[in-house]
Amino acid sequence: MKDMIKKRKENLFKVFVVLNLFIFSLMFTFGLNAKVIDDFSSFSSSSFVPTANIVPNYSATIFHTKAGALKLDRNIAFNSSTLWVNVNEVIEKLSASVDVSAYNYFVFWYYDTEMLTGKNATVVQVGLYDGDEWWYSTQKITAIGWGQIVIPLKDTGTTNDEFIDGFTVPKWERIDSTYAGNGVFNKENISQIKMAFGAGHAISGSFYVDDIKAVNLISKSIPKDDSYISYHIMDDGLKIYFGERMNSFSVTEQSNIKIYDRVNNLELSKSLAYDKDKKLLTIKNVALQDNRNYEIIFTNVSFEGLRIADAYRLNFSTQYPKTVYPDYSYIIQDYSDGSYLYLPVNCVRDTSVVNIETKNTGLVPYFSALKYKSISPVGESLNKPATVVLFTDEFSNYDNLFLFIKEGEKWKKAPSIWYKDEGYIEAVVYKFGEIALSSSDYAGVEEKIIDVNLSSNPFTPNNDGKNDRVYFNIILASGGELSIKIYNNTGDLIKTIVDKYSAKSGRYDNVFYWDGTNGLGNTVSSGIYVYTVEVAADTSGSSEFYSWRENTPNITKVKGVIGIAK
Amino acid sequence: MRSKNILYVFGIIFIVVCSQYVYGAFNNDVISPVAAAMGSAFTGVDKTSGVFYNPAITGVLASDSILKADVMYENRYGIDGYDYYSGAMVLTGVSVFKLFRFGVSGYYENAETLLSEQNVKFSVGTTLMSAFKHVYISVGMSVGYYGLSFSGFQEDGNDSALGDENYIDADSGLYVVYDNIRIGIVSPNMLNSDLRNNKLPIRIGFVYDLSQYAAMISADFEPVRDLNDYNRSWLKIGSFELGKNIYPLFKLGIEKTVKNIFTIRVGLRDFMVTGGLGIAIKGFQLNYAFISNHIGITHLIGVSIKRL
Repeated sequence: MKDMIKKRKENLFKVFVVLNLFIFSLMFTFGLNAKVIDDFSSFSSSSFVPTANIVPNYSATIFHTKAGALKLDRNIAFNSSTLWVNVNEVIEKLSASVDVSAYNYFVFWYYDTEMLTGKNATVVQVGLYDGDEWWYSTQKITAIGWGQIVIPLKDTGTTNDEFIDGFTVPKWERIDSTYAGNGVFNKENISQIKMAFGAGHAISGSFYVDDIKAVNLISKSIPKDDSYISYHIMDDGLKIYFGERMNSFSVTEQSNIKIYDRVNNLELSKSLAYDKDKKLLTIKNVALQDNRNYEIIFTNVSFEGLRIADAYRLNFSTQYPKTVYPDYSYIIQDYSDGSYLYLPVNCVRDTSVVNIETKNTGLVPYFSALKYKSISPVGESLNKPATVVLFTDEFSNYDNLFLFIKEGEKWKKAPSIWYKDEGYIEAVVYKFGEIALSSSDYAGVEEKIIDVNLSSNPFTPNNDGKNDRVYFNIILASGGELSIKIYNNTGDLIKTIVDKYSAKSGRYDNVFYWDGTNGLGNTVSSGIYVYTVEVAADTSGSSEFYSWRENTPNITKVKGVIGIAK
Repeated sequence: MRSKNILYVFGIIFIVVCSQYVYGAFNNDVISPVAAAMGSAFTGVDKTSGVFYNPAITGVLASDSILKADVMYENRYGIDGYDYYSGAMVLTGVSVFKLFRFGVSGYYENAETLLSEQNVKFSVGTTLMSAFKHVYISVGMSVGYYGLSFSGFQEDGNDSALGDENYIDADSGLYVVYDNIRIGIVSPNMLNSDLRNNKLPIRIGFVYDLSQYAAMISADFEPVRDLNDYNRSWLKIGSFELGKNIYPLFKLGIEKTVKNIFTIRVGLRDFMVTGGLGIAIKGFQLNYAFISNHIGITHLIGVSIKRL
């Protein structure tokens, strides 16, 4: 018996030895040569066009919506009985009533792939439910590419478009008899948004809607992507630049350009000169006084690629260089890419240092005072990024100019673009403080990655059309090789989104997404994942003006967490 | 005797099945600094944390103390708000019919304000063949709860798809001790694997006990690591193609204790370095570990407790 037990024991041990030899042979065959799982297909942002440009950033929006879902592929045959195409997905029930009483306009951006006019033009009907009744406004889209619709958030009290201050105000009207309503436009209780699209004749192509929100427009907005406008108060009059990217602009004899003194509500006399090649309109013989706020209203002026109702207006102040009050500052508030601040010509003079202070740290930052030669930074963080437009003709001889902001003892480069010909630099800032200019992008660069914004996170890759992707909107201080990778929580590489992608600085170009699949193309399970965003530094150039250069070559890496639900 | 023969047969069948049909395990393989410092190669290590990796170890952890515990904290990869807590406990001094012993292990992982993941496993193990000289065979099973809680959604609070997710799963394990060699074989997370296609996950651990030198060498091997892909159909032997459909995971750990006070641990997980230290103070041992991987380096601190 003992022998039998001993024999069985030996046999058992042999079985284990053989099995383990077998298993470890597998291990040595397949395992030890295994490399990091890094052969997954990369993704290029080029396939996003044009949807990449409408990736929403809802950090401060009032109406939450899904811009990516608001795509209408038009294939509408003419049928007078089916004028409207209702897109159910567009109907947005807000999670709670929204109070927009502090805002004066309802805006959204659109992107139209077809140039359609007349009866073929796309018509958009917007509906707002104020808790008691629906209010509708109908807009006709006649432009191709990007454009913006601005509708005042008030009951115009008319059945026809109202003509206010020289331009047509679209109407809000109650046309849905389902709701009896009290007839009062309750701005403090918006709970639903509705949109419908249609046309009188057969149309085709695609139509996108983006950034639906309530804003408080003080002056005319600057189009998001296609054009920009600036104006200088010069000794020989008021010059208005319409920018290189504006496709066309024409002023004809029928054009009506009026300049108002809004203090005395007077229309000023003027003479016009328009240089089409330079996109420059000069208004001469206009008697501008200090400490006044003026408004220019254009009608019958055609802007290709831009349509703001039927008119265009600019507000400006001659209070430079004195204090600019919030209500009349050059801020365009509450846009998805931040607030805009416009500093007048040559506000940066001898020292090239300007201090920006804030008096209001609410939802939208106000820049209420400009100071020269100040060296005491406020150091206060903005609630959201702000775009500073700094006019200066001091550095017009230099091909490169970059804006830096001082944080603590270090100067950090802000994403900036120098428009040499127009004489201004546009930059994104995140904190108040001292601002300086340099001709080199190498001066004191501390971080290459300014920010990584994710939306939606967590997300649900279940192909239901809702939140199926997480988007990375990466803001870089300067260009470099960008890599984005996804790992599980124990560090195994799941997917490479981009690898050594040649990324540009700025806010719009670096948009990527993860659809929740691994390198095998299968959707991963619910749980916690880690992303890394890495930018390899480039090193070149030298500072010609100032000695803030700290020579900090680096590879900047940002890590964060992504959640997946099913 | 007959019953033991039956156990032999079942044990061998189990191993053969596991060898032929393999599958990856759930990802999370961190339970304590002791294990993490050794590359998480703990499937064959008869220490407290071992019950998380192999429930059969529960059956062999007898002690004159009532319980042993191992707890830890980790701020994962240095990411703000990404915290990880875990621990294991075995009632080493308590048994039922002098046969079954019990343990519990689990973790809580909180990722910023996005979501949290929690797991708790209840393990039971027994030693079957301690009568054989130098040979001990234990089997064990654990039942685990896995939960995901989603706490926020920044764009759309109305998304009904978001809610808590809950799973029940089970591990089965085998543990063999022969002189100074230990072998652990585990089939983890069996219920969420593709059992309908006769595929089982498997993880194999091997330990060489150098107790005469107060040291230990351990190695773990997962033929197919989990990439969170539950729909694979290519795992039968014969269809392997390295780099295309097979991604094995290899772990290695070495531990050396000096003067019964200081313990040094080093390891490899997926060919990346891990390491750590332990300092024993009476019934406690303070432990530290680091793990380096593609994301970066993460640091773990914890304490092992042995109480009467």
